[in-house]
Amino acid sequence: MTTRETGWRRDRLGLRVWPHRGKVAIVGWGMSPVDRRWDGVSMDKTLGAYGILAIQRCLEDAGVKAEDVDGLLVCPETGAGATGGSSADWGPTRPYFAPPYDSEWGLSRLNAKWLTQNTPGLKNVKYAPEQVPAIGEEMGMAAEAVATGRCKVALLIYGMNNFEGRYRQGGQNEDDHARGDRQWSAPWSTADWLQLSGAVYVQQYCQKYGGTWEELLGPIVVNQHRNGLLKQPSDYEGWGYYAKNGPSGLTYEEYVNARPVIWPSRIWDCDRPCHSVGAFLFTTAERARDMRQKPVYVMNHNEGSARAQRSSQQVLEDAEEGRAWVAKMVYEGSGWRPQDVDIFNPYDGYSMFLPLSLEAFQWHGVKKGEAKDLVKGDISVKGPHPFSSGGGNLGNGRTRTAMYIDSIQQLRGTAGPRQVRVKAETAICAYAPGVAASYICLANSPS
Amino acid sequence: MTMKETMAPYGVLPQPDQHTQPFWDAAKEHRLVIQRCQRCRHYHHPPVFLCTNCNDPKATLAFEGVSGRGTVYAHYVHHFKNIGGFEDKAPYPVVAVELEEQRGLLMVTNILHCPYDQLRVGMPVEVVFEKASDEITIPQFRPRK
Ligand SMILES: [Zn+2]
Repeated sequence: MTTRETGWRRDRLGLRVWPHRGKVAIVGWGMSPVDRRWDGVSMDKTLGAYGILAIQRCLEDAGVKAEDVDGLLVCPETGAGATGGSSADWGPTRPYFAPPYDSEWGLSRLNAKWLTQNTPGLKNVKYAPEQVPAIGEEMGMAAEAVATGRCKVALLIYGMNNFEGRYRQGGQNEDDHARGDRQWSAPWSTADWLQLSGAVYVQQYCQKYGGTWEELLGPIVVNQHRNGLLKQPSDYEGWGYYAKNGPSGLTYEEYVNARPVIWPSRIWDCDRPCHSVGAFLFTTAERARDMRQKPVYVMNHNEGSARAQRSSQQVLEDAEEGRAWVAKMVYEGSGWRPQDVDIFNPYDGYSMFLPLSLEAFQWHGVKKGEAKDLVKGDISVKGPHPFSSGGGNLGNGRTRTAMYIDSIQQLRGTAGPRQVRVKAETAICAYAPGVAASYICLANSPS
Repeated sequence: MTMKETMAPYGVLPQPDQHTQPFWDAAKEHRLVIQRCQRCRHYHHPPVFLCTNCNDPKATLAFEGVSGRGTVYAHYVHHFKNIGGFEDKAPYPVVAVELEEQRGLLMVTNILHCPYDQLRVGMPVEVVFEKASDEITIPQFRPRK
């Protein structure tokens, strides 16, 4: 199958409440260890081996046999590339190994074919699309596949690879001529668009609403690290890089004095590329009732992106409007209002995204220009405003799974030391760079 | 206190195409031109193929001279040595300049002759030009006196 299935996408206003709201549930999750990168030697730590491990842990969590899985969604893009989210299509020149490691599949990349051939018991998969988007939209695709009967028990797999060597080497970054859109950035050697736009928003934000970069982002980054470290031993290796490898905490002063990257952004404003695989199991609400875990119901999903600017560059007002459009769509599709959202785990590849997402969704009543006030208070999981309780990618490394795992655990009531003290019945979580609309809404009850 | 008086030699040169040639031709003559919709008069940078302001597919787009004056909309200092051709230049400053012709009309360049610790949002700046090769001249900005 080579055609891209897009009919399932919910990418515009006016679609009303998702017709399958509460009829699909997430019933299991599993996570491999989170390493900095593969060591090139240990065959039990390749991305493929980690994929198999994540699947086994996910099925164990759900109490489901591999034979019962009939849907498999695997995003084949495992590297962050020049465009920020897609594979950079480069890799080391190296000799390969005996099968199944006789190509890049299984070493640094994943697909349904490799995983079905190498995961014990995974032999009844009937739905395995080749074109699978990154985890933000992959979540919606999996939910929709179950909802519309393409499969009954769907495994979602998302891996992240991190090659050694200069970050984002190869491809366009090796070219000494800047073609197309790059002629407007590369001659001045500007940062990638996402990072640049984040810097643009935050400086304009401070100019418009007051406060400094450090006052706005420092407490958020510290909170992300704190939450990322709040793990229990029964959780697979802490499902995050820092919980396993340290450092064992980050203070505001350490954040302020950290290594400059794209000053005023510091190293801790950026997520750390990692090597890991996460797995999630989706099934119908009806089947979910008799499974091992308390089901976490899917109440809505969205995809696509805001058309965010009138001119060719995005400015603060565009970013605010774009995110407001996304939030409106997510609320429309779930039937929720801001006050209905207990757990909020937005995307944080750069810390700069978080204040704007917080304000757009008006979580805990926070409106434009007010994120800076919320973060001055207690945003820890112990307090009244447990913002981004999972710690995201800044607190766990670039796994892009933390927002989802935390939301599931909070709704199940199994987050342990990270369990929020306030109500945890609904959650909104995302892997949504820029003004992407890839959000999913979850609840511990189907109605 | 650190600053750049030049960003030359340039490790990465633009490859003008049919669509963008007028911009680079003008830069060679030390003129800054920006694409403008001839129907709704909205400026675009980087240039577009269809005006995203009036969305009229019949509207023509043409490059027009601008003053070269603007203010710093955002700034950063690039310390990360991840971009080919610029490894030896880090740290170097980058600014998004809002050109005075239109709100939100941003152009991203480096800033010359400005100590990094004096970079401020709202700082008045003006265009200068640096010859990068026989074919290519690169627009840059510096603080306005
Ligand atoms: Zn126009």
